[in-house]
Amino acid sequence: MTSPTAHPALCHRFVDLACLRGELLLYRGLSFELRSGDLVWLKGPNGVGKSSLLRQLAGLLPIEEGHMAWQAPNQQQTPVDGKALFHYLGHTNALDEDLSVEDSLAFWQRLYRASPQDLTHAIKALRLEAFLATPCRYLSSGQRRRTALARLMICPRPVWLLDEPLVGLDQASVGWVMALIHDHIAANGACILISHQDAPGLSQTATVMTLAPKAGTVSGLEISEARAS
Amino acid sequence: MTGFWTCFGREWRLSLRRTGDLLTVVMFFAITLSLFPFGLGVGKDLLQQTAPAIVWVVGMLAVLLSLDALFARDERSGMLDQILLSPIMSLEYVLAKWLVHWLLTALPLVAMTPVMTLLYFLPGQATLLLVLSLLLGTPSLTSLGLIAASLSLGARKGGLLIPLIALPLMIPVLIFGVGTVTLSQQAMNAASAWYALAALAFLLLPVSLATASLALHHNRS
Repeated sequence: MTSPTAHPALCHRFVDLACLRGELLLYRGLSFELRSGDLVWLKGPNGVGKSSLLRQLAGLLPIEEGHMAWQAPNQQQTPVDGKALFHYLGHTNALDEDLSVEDSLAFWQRLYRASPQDLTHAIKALRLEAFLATPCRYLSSGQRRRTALARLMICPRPVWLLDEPLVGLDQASVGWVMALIHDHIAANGACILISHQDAPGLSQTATVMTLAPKAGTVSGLEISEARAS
Repeated sequence: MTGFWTCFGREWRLSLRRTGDLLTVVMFFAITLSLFPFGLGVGKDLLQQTAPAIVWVVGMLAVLLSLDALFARDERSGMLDQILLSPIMSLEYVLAKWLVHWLLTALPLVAMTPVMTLLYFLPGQATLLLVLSLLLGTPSLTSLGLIAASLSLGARKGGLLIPLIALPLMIPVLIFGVGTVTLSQQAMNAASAWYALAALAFLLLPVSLATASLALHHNRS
């Protein structure tokens, strides 16, 4: 299954980003590029700032230093609207406990002004048919995660920022979700993914980016970027 | 406006599913109001004189009771992040919150008032005035509640902060709200109090919507 439309080729440039959480400087001088078709596997020890980086890219955390820019290769001057570019999936699933899966999805569909076909497509892609009428409070954690992931399919956006998308999923679901991510990449999308577990096809296709604190300092960070075979 | 109706639909449906939350507010209002006649004794005059103030203050406290979860629940579930990342304006989301809060929290209190004032021997005309003053004043209470709830978001023990922010701001609404009834009771011209109450309602609505949506954006750290 491939996304119905291919995304336009884009290049996102993140220059000298710094992130401050309270008194703690998580990183500074962080620069990298994300191009259409990139799958980046963001790694690093706990607390190093991976989740904060994703939130910052999504526009949910202020950028203390540096800037972000994106560029279309044909030099189109399109205004930078992060809202329309990024899908962000955080630790939380953004589900209303008291609504059924179907109602939650319908809310997102209207929120993103997507068509009913997109909704059906999303339900099929994440195989949610069996528990559509169940209120979210009765879902297992894997089912919650899948419902949350359905949001990515409802509205096509070029960049996916996924914070531990595979947590709680059974082996079969991990397979489908990885297939969806690869379809997204194949459709000229880009994806940054945080995961502490390897998944089928992940280490073969992803560019690994490791966020590591420099010994002795809190602020220094080393970015090692190497494309795996 | 589609964003507003989408959010409104969600809020409305969620609030109706959480009947417990709505009933808590109404029951608090009813029970607290029925306590005062016991404490104050059967002095009819005293009850009549104090009824407007008591109803207003208890109404304010009942509204406060409902503010804890107003934004905090959406923040905890991650829904707030997704709303901010969605194509809708946060103003639409906040306006939906406002409207549903007023319709399902404040309005039931106004509707309960004529029943509760029976305990205070309040005459029919004064009761009518009290209901009208609450009708005009509760939008301001909702507005101020929205401001407090959004500003306290992200603070530790944010729930405790809400009354500290909201109650002092509610004092003018209380003064003019009670004023409308008591001035009329004393056969004085209450027009200025009505105007002030209406002015507060119209002034506080846009201010609260703007403040709340700004606060939601700035609290994301």
